[in-house]
Amino acid sequence: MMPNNEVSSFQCGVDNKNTEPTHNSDKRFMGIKKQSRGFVRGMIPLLVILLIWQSVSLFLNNDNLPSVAEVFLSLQSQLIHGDMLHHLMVTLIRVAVSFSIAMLLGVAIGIVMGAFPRINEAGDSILVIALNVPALVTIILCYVWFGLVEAAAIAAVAVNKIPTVVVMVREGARVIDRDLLQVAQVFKLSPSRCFFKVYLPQLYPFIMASARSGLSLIWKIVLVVEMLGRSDGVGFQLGTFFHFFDIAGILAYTFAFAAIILVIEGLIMRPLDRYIARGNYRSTGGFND
Amino acid sequence: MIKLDVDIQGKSFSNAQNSVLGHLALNVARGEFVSIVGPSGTGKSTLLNMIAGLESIDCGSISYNDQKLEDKPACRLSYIFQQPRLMPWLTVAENLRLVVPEVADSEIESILNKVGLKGKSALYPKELSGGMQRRVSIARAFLIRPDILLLDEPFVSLDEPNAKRLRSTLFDLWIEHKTTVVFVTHDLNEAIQLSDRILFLSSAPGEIILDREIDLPRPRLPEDIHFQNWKKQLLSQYPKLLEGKVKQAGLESLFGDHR
Repeated sequence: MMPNNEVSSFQCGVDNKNTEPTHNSDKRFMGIKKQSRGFVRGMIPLLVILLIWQSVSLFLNNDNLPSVAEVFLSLQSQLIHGDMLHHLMVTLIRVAVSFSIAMLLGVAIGIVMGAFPRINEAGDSILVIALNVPALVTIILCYVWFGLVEAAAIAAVAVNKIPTVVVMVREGARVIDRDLLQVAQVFKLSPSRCFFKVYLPQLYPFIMASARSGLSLIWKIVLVVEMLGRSDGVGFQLGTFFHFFDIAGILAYTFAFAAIILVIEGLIMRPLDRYIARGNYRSTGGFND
Repeated sequence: MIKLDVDIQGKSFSNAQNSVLGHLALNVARGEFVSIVGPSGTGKSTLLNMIAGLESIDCGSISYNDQKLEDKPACRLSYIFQQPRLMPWLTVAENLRLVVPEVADSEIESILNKVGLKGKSALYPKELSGGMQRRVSIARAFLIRPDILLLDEPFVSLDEPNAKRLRSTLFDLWIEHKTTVVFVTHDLNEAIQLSDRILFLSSAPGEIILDREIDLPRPRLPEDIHFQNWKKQLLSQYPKLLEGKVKQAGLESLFGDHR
């Protein structure tokens, strides 16, 4: 006769084998359920704020605080009859281009500064100054020096963001795990393989953190740049609404752009974050131990 | 396979007051399994790092098949470190493919099978136990079909059953590949069990104070009486040897009875 524990472990093994697909689909279902719950939980505070806003605007009955309904009517009208989509697209392109330039240059400079202490010493004071120069100063100087052209607008935004990317990536490059680089050295990995498979993945959490903070900063700077020196884009439109005291229009554009940023977060940033977190490598830097 | 010749006059680090290694000359024949035993801080890992080209040689030379290390001789070298040093963002299969990009899936499965990790190729290191991670590092080391293999206390901090299994895996792979091996360990049992030869290092600065060939027949079991006698004699004499009280010539006669 088989001892009890053997019988149970044998049965467990058989059960596990047969129920594996069900187990996997259960897991997927649980994942979707968890995500939906998270979405609902995230929406509740937003709905509460909208409710409070609607009540306050009804109570005050002031043109400076239009109701939620008025803002959504303005949004609908801008989308259907106005050129909101055009302006949103222009701003998005500016954000994408300046973000890409800032990330590429920032990551490259950050790696060099983190890897070479002498270059870091030489460039550190410039970096501190660059970090503290007001965004408005850079924007004005770019427009004065290069004229009111697209390149000046993009450059102004990128220059504002590069220092923060450099700082974050430099910190990552300083704490690179030398032991892993020794593995690459011993097994004679090619320089490009060593860089892309061993070195750069260690910086991903830092690059991701700077990309996240960068995106939120860049689109705010882009709006200022557009308001000061461009004839299209969300920033330009906000400036126009400001001249006409069209608060509903301002808020409608703000909502539209915020919605786009949320979509970018959901479709690009979060999947990227999950990719970086594979193998339990945290996006905030280091491992989950 | 590779013949290894080491002749180092000394090694010191800028942040250390004294030399880590003293004068050290050793020759490892093709396919030989040599263990290095010695107290902590005598430069055993430094020696391995120098052989691997990870540390500079201040004075002296290291040659593979009579070709100096600085001439970058054509040689496949593998190193199993104290820690497995796997890339956490790569799966087991990707970690193996990192060192041999063109390797076929079947070969990866085959080597994983040999180290007892069948079906684990898609897992990340974090999903494996410490022993399993070390198995992956052994698989990675043998996947490149090394001419020379360096091991730096690869089984330290493992429980004995796990360490025993890994020793046996290592031994089987060594028999299959007949690689030249330099193995650093604190565990005398492990050294006697696996090696053709054991080198004993003095306290820092590390120098070879005893070079012993082990001609006990394989498989060597720690329970075996000859094995135990060999170890007992060595354990009784090694502290005296470290203090310089017994000369190598004296020890030769001590071990003669148990060959």
